[in-house]
Amino acid sequence: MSRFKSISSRLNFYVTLSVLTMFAVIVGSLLFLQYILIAFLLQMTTSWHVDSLASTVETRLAEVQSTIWAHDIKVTGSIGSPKALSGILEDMLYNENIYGCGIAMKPDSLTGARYLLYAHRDEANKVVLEQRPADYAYEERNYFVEAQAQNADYWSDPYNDGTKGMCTFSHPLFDHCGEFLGVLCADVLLDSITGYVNSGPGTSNSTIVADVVNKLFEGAMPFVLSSGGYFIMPPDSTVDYRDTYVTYAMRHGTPDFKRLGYIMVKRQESPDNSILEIDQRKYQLSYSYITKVGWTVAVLYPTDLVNGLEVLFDLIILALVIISLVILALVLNFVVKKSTLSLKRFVAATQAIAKGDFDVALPDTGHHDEVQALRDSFDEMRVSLKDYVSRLKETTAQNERLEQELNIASQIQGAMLPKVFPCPPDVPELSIYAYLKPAREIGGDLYDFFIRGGHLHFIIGDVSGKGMPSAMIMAVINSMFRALQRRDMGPERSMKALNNMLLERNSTDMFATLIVGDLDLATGNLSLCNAGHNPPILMQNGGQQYLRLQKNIPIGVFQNYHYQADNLHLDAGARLLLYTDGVTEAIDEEGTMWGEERLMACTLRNSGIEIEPYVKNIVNSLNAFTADVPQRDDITLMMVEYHGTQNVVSRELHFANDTKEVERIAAIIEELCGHLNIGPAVCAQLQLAVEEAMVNIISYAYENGRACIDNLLQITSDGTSITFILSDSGKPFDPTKAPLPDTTLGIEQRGVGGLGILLVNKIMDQVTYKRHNNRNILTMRKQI
Amino acid sequence: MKTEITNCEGRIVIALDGKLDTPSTPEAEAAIFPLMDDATIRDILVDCSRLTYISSSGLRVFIVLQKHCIKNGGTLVLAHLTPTVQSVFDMTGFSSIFTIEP
Repeated sequence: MSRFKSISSRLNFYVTLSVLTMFAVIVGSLLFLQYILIAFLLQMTTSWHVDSLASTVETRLAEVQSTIWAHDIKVTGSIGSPKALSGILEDMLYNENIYGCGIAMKPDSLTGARYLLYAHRDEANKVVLEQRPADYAYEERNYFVEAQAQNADYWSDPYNDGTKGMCTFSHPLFDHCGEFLGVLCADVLLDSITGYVNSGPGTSNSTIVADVVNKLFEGAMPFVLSSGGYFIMPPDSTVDYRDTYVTYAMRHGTPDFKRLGYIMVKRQESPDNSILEIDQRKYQLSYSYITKVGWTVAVLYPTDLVNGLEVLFDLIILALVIISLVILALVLNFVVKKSTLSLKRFVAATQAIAKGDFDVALPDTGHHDEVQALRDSFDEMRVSLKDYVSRLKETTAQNERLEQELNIASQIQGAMLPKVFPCPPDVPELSIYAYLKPAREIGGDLYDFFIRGGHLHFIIGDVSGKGMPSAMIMAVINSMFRALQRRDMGPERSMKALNNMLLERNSTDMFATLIVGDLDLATGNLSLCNAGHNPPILMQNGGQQYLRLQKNIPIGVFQNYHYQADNLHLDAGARLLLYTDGVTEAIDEEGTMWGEERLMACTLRNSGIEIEPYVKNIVNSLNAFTADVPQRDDITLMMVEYHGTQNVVSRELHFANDTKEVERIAAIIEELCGHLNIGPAVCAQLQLAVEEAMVNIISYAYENGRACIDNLLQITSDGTSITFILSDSGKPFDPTKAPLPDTTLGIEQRGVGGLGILLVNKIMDQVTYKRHNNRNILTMRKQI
Repeated sequence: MKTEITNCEGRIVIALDGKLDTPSTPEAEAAIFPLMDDATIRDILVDCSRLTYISSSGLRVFIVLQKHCIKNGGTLVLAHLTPTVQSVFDMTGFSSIFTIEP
């Protein structure tokens, strides 16, 4: 399960996370670069700064030196002329860097007389000339001693001449023989040098860079060291010209300052680490040499300012990152929300579709993006679904209709098959039982039988294929069979006619295997015509065998094929079992067929049992064999048992619902009476009884005068009695229970109602009624 | 079935020839029943010598004739019944309510 309930929050989370990671990397790199860059820039800037300061100071000092050098020749040429020398000194003072200047002659080697002429400007900028007292032993002073000793220019360490701190530049003077004459010297005030430094670069510019640099240099402490390590310019007011870097270091307790001072003064190599701490504040030291003078110009830059700058940069970057992230998140959120908004509307629409509303309009995103593509394909799906569902509804309705029709067809087919057993009723010569189970609702198996004119006509068959087409062919064969038998055609001609009719009316190349049989109930003569059907089993006189009949082709194959029948004789007690290949070709779970041998074994086991349980036992054995394997083919079994007869007469007559039929029947009765040697009086009585029974049916059995042809009259006689069985499918009526008219009444009270039944009862010896299979069956018997 | 009607001195003679069964009765009725509209006809003789067969529907013709004659103060006489017809009259008890002459 995702922690996120929406695409937008998930996208927001992951995108922000990735961007944050990228930013972290970038910022880290930036910070590192910034550190290096700042360090580099600082190095550059401070170097430049210090160099500039040094350069400024050096320029001023060079001016001083130049002035001295320029007046060298004048001085040497004017020795002995104090006025000229004074003028020269006055000239030199025009260089404003020079506070004062003087000429100190080497004391006379004989007299030891000293000569020092000194000029300087007073507060009013007026040149003051003075001759120093003779006891002023200048020849012992550093500026004189060093210049004389080295025969070279010399910058002194700082000193105080009593009023002001200064340094002195000494220049040795020589005569034309190269003899040392004295020194020409110039004093430079320490305050002036401090002024040079403070007027250095970085103060006058007003650019942004300069501002930053100025800020950086605000707390900076510049100082100048002499070659002897004295402070020409002190870093702060706590020191003066008498202090060296050593004393400063000791006073402030910073050994690093001492170390670095040493490096600077002694012109050693640049230190690795120029960071030092003074009074608990960290500084970075940068310095530059004034080579001509031997001085060092140095600046202490407080590092906390640099650090502050770094922090400032960091904060700026951080702020930029946060602002970027916030903007990103807002933009992302907006875009994703906007994109997913259409999805949300989409969900509502699809829910409506899910509930079956296929006409709902899917929201348009207005963009050509993936959601729109999804929407478009979904819309296609919606249209397809709509079509599909409407087609499905149609198909379902159609299927329901078909199913209904199939059910009706199944019922119709079932109704075509005689189903009342034992059947036919009241035919003492015969018992028939049949069983048919279609593989589907309707099937192509068929059987039928009926008794007509003392003959049992029967048929069993199997139309090729299954389902509706087979069932229709089956129905055609069934009705054709019935129609043909009315014409008293034998099995051979019946089969031929069936074959031709099927070929004429069947365009689908369907065929059927059939056995058509005709059993003469009076004689037991059986004619069987087998059109490619399974061999029936005949059980007779204690034996049973498959009847290998004439091999004819199935019907529906060749026009005008001449079918041949077999003629057999059934003795009393003979049984004939007919079946379709659905029985012998039924398979078990392993695909083994039941086969003729198992069928034969099964019939042997059941011999002697009544035919109905007999057939049912076969079906049960078959079901036990096939177990759970679905039925593949229609299964039909029909068993005929012939009991034999002593009857001399046996007739089966159908009659229509028309009183005219009475005459036809009467004629037949008269003919039969002739056969049976029954006299005309009794014959007339029999005719009368039958007429009354018939008229009763014709006139009263059917409402609405239904034209019915299944009224049946069976007449049998064994020579001693004659039996009439009338059956009809009209409304139930038991004539034996009807009230009889009172024959003692006078004419005024008498009607004709009930007279017919009265006559029947008077004429016949035995009159019985039963209602069976929705038929009224009236049996009338009379001894002859 | 043939029905022959003759007027013999005010007495109607109906000769029935053939079978008076259910199919043929309507024919006989069509011939005989117009007589019933004539109240002057009082006495009727039915010659049954050639009537070979009668069913319950045929008996109805006789009942109608009998009721007509009684109503008009006349008599109905059935003559020369064949054994077959006689036996039907016997079985139905009609022998006692009709005047039957041999």
